[in-house]
Amino acid sequence: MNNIEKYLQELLNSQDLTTDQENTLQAHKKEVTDFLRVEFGNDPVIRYAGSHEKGTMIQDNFDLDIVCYFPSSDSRSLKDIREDVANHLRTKYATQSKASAERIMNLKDDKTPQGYHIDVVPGRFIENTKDVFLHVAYGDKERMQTNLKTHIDHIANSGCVPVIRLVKIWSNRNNVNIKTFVLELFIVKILNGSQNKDNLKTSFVKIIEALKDRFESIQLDDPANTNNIVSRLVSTSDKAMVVQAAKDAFAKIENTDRVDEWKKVFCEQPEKSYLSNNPQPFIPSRPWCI
Amino acid sequence: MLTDSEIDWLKTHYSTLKPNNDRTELKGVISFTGTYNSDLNNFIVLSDGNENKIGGIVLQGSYKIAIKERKKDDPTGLKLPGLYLEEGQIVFSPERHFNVIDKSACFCGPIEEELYLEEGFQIQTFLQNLIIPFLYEQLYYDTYDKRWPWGEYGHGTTGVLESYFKTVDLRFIESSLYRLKRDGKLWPYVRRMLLSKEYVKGHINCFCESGDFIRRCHPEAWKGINKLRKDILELAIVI
Repeated sequence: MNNIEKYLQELLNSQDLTTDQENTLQAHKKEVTDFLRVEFGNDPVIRYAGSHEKGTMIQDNFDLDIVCYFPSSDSRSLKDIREDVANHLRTKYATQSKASAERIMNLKDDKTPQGYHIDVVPGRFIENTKDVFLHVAYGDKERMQTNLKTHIDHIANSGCVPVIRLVKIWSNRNNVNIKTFVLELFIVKILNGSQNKDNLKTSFVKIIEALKDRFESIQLDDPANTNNIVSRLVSTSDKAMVVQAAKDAFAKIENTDRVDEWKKVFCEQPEKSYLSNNPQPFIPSRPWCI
Repeated sequence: MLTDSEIDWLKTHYSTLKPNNDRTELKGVISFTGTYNSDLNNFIVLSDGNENKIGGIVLQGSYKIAIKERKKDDPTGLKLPGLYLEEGQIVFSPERHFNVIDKSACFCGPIEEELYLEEGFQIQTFLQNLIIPFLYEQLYYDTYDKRWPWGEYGHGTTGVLESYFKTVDLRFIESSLYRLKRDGKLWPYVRRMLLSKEYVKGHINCFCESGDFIRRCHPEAWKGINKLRKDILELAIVI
């Protein structure tokens, strides 16, 4: 293992969730599940989704995704299901409505990162299938057909999980605004057929190069429903920002085996020294009052 | 709150500030010399013979203070360690930028706090970029006819909106909304403005209930509302 590969592997290891953090997620999942069951009984299937199930969580920035799928026999409209779940959650938590999720903002503790939240995705199964319909609050269509298991399998069985985690660390630390699901689909598509998925350095460089050259034009389909063109969810300005960030990163790592150059890409710097005391002029902050 | 190297740095540069055993608190006298140049809008701490590169009004002060780490569920909702002054030095009032919940100082706006924390807490920059400038301002206020040298944010909601107006970064939307909701009383009125279908015009009554036009009463907060409204629409955030 060369020095870059070793550095990347150590970086990934450092991003595994601690036992305390894992326990916190489990406790939060149980709390929300129990709270939903108080209102809806045993009807809905409530389970983990998102990066927790795909194995792509990173310690720098994680959140919790929970699906709450009602049986196909439920006669309420999707919108009513969504509103019932939202109204019930609001009786206990501070929430925000996102496109297809109700976001709990205030269930967190000192084990969770800044910005941590819990997304609850209500939906209804389609008869005799594992597919579901989700209500979509804004956009062209009011409902979307999808399949959680297909999503999870597509990512978790792709062989790309380590490099997905690396790219998530890179994007998070460089404030690159990119939806995780889009990033995952992009990486799986680019590395499809690659014999070197286990080689972190080669795979990471390949992804950064592809983000730079192909991200603006590539079409990414929802593996559970090819009518959903996921890449359309990314705005032109966000695509341009991703491309610029990838160009910057690629220029640093393209032809180097220097670990310090790679560290820069992941925003890692040596510990700051406190030995000097040479203050510089700065624009001071105005005082406020809560 | 404090690393080994920070403790060493304090011993050298602010030896009268002593940490407690678990390093969650610093207590003692802080003496400083600082200068502010209003033309440059620049402040600098002058210490250990550090050269005055900016001119301006030099003030020298000394206060008995305590700096205490905050718990996650701190009732103020603030995240940076709290600055507390010993009684009798300054009147702890909102006008002097001390909050009424725990009498700690509000030395910066809500977005400045977020920005500072993103860099990671360091006692050196905390003292020299936030604490000493705040104490300098208090000294200036007492010396120069109750004026704040580089201005101030309005209290509560007003300050959140003024602070939001100054940022160009969309990532502060949620924390700003959190702060606005937390303020409670004015939130329903501000929310209505944020949900308005059109640009909030300047001749409507100000949210502070002064009866004056918002553009005259709180011009920066008015601009902050319009900026926040636009950003919320752009990101399709439901409030």
